[in-house]
Amino acid sequence: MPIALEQVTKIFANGRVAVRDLTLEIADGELLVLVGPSGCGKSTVLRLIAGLETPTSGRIVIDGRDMTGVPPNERDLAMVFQSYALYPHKTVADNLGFGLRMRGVDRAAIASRVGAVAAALQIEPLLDLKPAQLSGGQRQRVALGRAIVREPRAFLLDEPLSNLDPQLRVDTRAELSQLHRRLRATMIHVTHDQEEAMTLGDRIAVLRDGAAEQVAPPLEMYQRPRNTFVATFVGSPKMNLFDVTAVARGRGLTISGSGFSIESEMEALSGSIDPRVPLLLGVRARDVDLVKQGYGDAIAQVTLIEPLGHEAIVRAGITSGGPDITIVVNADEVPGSGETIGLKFRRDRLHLFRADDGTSVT
Amino acid sequence: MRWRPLSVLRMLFVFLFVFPVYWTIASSFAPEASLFEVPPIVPAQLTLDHYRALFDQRQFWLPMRNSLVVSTAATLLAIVAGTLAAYALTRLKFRGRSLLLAGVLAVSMLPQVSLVPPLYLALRATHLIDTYTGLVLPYLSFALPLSIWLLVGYFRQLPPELEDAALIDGASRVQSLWHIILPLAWPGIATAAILTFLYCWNEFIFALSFTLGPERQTAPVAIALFRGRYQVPWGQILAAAVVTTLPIVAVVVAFERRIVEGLTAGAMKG
Repeated sequence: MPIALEQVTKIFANGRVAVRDLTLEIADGELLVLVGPSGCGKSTVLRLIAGLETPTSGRIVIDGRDMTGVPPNERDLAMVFQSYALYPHKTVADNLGFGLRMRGVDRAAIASRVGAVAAALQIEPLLDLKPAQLSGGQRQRVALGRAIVREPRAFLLDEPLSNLDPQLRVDTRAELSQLHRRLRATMIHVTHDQEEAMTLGDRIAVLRDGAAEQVAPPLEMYQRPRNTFVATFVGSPKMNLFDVTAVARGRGLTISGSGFSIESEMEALSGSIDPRVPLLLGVRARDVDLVKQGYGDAIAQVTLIEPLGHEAIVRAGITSGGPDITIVVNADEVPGSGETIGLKFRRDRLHLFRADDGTSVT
Repeated sequence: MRWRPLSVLRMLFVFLFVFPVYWTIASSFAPEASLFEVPPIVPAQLTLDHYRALFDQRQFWLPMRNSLVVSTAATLLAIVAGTLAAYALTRLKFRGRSLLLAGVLAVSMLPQVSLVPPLYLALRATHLIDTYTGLVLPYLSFALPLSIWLLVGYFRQLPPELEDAALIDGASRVQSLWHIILPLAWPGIATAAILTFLYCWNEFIFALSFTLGPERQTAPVAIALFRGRYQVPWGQILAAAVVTTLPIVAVVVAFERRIVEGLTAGAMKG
């Protein structure tokens, strides 16, 4: 079931603008991830879709119908809350069946559907327990089950994984992905974790201050970030940004920063770049190769090494007096601390942004 | 036990609170003559004279009945209306919400005596002087603000997400109040009920002002009128105090178990 937000703005009573003129379209069966730092309005967007909040202006269209003023109990959506919000005085079975009961499904049908979902989620032994008797992971499954059992038209997931420990989170993330494929239901998943967004989403919407910075499939978001906010938010470690100026030279560009200067073949750009405009060069940590000194674009001195096993994050200062850079190297080529290394930026992976508003010029 | 200052203080406190209760009970069974013995620790002789006099001569069951009827009715009304009001004040968004809440508090701040003349005129005009209704309605003037404030405080503690979840699960406002909020708010409602009942039970000025005779007088008023011109029947007053305390003890005991049950069932997060 498609869901659309049309120029939705939400201003709370205290004057805080939570959502700013947001237009989003979620296709039928799509899993869209809303991601952004805390306070960016992503949970409010979910609550607006659920009907728990009413937009100050704009429309919310669900399945082609304007649902802006319709109360939540008439929208037939399911939501999984970050706190799970299980009813503490009801057993797991009653928690799962509550939605069906409210919709007037008869007892026998409720029991069989609750049983089926409990079996699918492997929570059958828990059916007679109260939420307080469950572990965090079990509660999460019950919360998910409560959403699934209703067979709703769409799922709204508000940071459903954030209260799980890391290992369980990765497992549950994979299950969520499978669940989405199996149910083919529209899902909107809110998270502050960019990695979760990348792995789960058919598309990702990066939100900042209540507005969408970019909406794109994960890979496109990673490879062609529209501005420095998206560029640094998506991908780990964070993209390096350097103050540079660029001058058209022949068919390419000469990009000069403090401690380095590179020739690139961004020919499409060479005409449109004004050498007086300060720019930011974006280079991801994995797009820098270690080379012999003198053969690369820059020389740097290693300040910190964080081994991760199969690779290591290396932090270094570009000499002399240049900016700091973070790179990722394979385990077999980790330099020593304090060592001087040569760096070469991969030419096809460079990003250029305007320094003033951060928008991409690549 | 070591004689630390704190434990001495603690014992002093216990003594201060428990001794008057003990003395009241003990003296209510003591003959009139031995009431003022010093030290007033153990009566030499026990008697039921005061209790007999209380129920035979004074017909104390009448004010007890009146107190029970009025306090129960006022508590029930205050809790039902207070629950709905507190729910609306905490969970619904409407203009002037905090102003209304402040208004409720302001109303309950008026000294009770100042309400007596206007209420008297109003009750007389509606022919409600010396009726149960004529006591229950004025009692709501303090019982309702009290229960609203207690319940608002309790409702605010309940995670709003539970109700969000219920609404999304397809429940209407009324259904979510009934199936989710009320079962969870039960301990708070019980507490509010106990306190409201206590206030009504001990109320004196309204009961004195708006009743005319023993048919509708409540226990506190009846006890106050025990004093004769020449003597104060202390023994009967003490016996009446014991009798009047019993329903309160019963109410607290009855509700306390539920309160504990409610608290243990309400766990939300680990």
